[in-house]
Amino acid sequence: MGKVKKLVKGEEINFGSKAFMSSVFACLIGFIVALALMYITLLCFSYSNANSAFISLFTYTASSTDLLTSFITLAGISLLLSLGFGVGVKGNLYNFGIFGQFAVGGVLSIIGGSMFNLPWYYLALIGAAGGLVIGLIPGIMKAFLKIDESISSIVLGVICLVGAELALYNYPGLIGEGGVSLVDINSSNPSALIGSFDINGFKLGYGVLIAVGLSIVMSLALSIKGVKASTNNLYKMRFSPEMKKGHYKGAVVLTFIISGAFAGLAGSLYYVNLFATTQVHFLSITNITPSLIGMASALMTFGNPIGSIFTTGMISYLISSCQSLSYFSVSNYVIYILLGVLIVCGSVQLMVRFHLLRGVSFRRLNYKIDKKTRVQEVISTVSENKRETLSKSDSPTFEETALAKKLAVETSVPPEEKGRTQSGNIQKRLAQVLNSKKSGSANDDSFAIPLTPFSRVLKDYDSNSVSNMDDAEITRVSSEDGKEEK
Amino acid sequence: MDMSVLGLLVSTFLALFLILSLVSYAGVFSENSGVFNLSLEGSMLLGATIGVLFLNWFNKLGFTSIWAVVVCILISGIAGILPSFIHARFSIKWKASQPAAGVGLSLAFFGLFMTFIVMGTITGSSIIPSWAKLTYSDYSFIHMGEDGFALFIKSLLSGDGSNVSILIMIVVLILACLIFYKTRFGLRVRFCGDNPTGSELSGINVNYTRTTASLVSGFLAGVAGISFFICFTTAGVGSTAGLAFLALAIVIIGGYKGHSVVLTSFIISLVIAFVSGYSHFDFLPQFTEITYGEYIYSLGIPSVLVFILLLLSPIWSRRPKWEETTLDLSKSTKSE
Repeated sequence: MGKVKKLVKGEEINFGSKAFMSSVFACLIGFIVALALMYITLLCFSYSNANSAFISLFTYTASSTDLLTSFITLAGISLLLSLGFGVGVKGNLYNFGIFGQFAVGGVLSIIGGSMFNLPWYYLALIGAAGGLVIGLIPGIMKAFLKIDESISSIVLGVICLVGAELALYNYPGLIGEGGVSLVDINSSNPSALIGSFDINGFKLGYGVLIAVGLSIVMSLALSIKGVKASTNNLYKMRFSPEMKKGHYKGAVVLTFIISGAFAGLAGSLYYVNLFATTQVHFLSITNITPSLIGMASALMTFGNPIGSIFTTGMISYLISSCQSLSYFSVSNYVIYILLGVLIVCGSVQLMVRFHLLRGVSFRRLNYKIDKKTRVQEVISTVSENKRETLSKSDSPTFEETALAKKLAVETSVPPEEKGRTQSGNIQKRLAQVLNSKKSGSANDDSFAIPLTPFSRVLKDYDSNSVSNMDDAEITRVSSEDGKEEK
Repeated sequence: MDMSVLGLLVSTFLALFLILSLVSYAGVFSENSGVFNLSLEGSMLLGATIGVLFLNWFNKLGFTSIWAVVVCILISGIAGILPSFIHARFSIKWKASQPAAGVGLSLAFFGLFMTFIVMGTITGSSIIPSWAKLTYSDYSFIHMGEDGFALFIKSLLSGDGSNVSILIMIVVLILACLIFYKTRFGLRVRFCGDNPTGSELSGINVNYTRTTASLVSGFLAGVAGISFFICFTTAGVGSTAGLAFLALAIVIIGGYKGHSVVLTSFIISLVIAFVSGYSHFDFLPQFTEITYGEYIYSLGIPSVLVFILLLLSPIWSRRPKWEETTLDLSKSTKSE
């Protein structure tokens, strides 16, 4: 009751906790769906070992400190990539070529650390700069030439992979015959390595701490009113041609710059340390895996930096555990099925959040709106205050329209009936609808207010109040709606 | 020039041109309807997976005639509908992010395809049985003289299954062109993309038309997928090499029009076929002194060419109007 009053008076209502919980549930639903499909795939390929293989996905990584170390490293790198990819997700800008920027950052850092003996923080800057320059190109193409960023970034990413591979294996003095590294960074330039600290045999790299720290910083930055408005505006600009003037082009380019910089930084931190211990091949599917994890994580959390920490960790854990599938005669390529399904679930998570937040069916209610002018006035009053908290679209939702219609009906109540308040009538009608739904005698053809957050927050709603209504009251309320339907 | 080299080039070019044209036309259908279908790679891979399974099954049954290849290609086309249908459902009905859903589906079906291949479900050194493979020696028609073409037709009619994939692709491509430009359905597809609100007011079910266009694009991609493996059998474990993304780039370069897209596919296929035979041309630098120099011709030059054409495409390309408009029924008379 209180929140409905606030709504009508034009005061803001905070649904922050609901939005947070709906995001969490949307991610969990995505994971459950992906794991279910994974289990079905395991059943198809290895029926007798499916249960053991599925359980190993959750236990394998935790069974060894080396595996935990590699999982944490993968999670840290993927988190940086997720932050980079997530910057554009809110504005519907997808930098799918992030794997190319990742490779460019990596090769620049390898060359800088091996041949020029630069310390890791310079290498990180160089890697970020390289990724930034590469990320700028699809951004400019999108903003000024209006070329779709998905395809242009993928094509550019392939070019970057080829260029990085050729640069690495043909840079003078870097790689010898048979792909053997001629430079031992561990001894020649240990400052190039990011380093780690040891906790009972478990090594936690400082790069992971950098990634987590950056995500916290980003989260704080995004909570600043101006920055938050910018990201929301980017989303609106994407779907509103009128707002594509002015700052949209700059915002698009800035998005891709930030995305590319994060990817380059991730490549720098990852590849230098990898090069120190093993051979590096950029044109390998395994080197694209961190980018895919970052994409899946960013899509599932809708670009939220803090959420990315948890989703990246969960996905990286599952990917690390997929190595155990070979013991059960299942190919490791199954992880790409998992990643693909997670990305798909991430693409619909906005719809899932919508359902969880509103708790209503997606099917629109069919009704006629009479007294259109008055209704439109009420809608504009209601929508103005609810827009920021519930809806990001410019058109009113059907809940708002339903409430507006009811309020319009109430304002047209004859003077002799004005003994009861507007909210009182709403409350009684809601009670009638809710009870009729419970008893299964809901008349779907009549006007029915859907079960919205408005109804749920009516704290002083008393289900017994309906029983206190006499038949005349119920009939009158119903007949008013019947007249409206005509 | 050695005729065998010419034969190799022509056959490579012809096969690649038809495959790229099919996938590009699949992109034309979906893009012009208003759906950015990045799941074409998944359609190609699923079509290839199912087609290869059926080819090997027919091989075991002893059904090795021309009709086995025809049936497998049609089954592959039908299988390719599934990823596009899922993508259409997610993006049209549930308003999911189209690029993300498409990339996710492509990745998932890539994992499925590679799992099938690596798991050894398809046994043998080659995933395509020998009787179904396209052999370049069949292109005897490129020999100078009238007998060459007659030999080609004769081999086609004699039940030699290796050339039928080329013929089917030509037929399917022509049918796709006719459907897109000469039928009411094609007109509706184009109208839905240009003016979805106007289409809805005209009585066209925009969502249904978009979904159907996505299904057609999935079918075309599925046919192209199995044809890719029949024609390029050395790509046994290399999936479809990102051809679908290349095809979507071709759609953008070609301005979302059917004939322009086919022309662009022609040019790019010609370049790729030419550079893929670089070792036969002395005037081309061989890059033998460069480690992994072969990637320059196989991946580098085609990607750079496509990227340059993408950069230049705004000069002649018209973006579809659906990228800037949305279906807005609140302003239509239906809501009044």
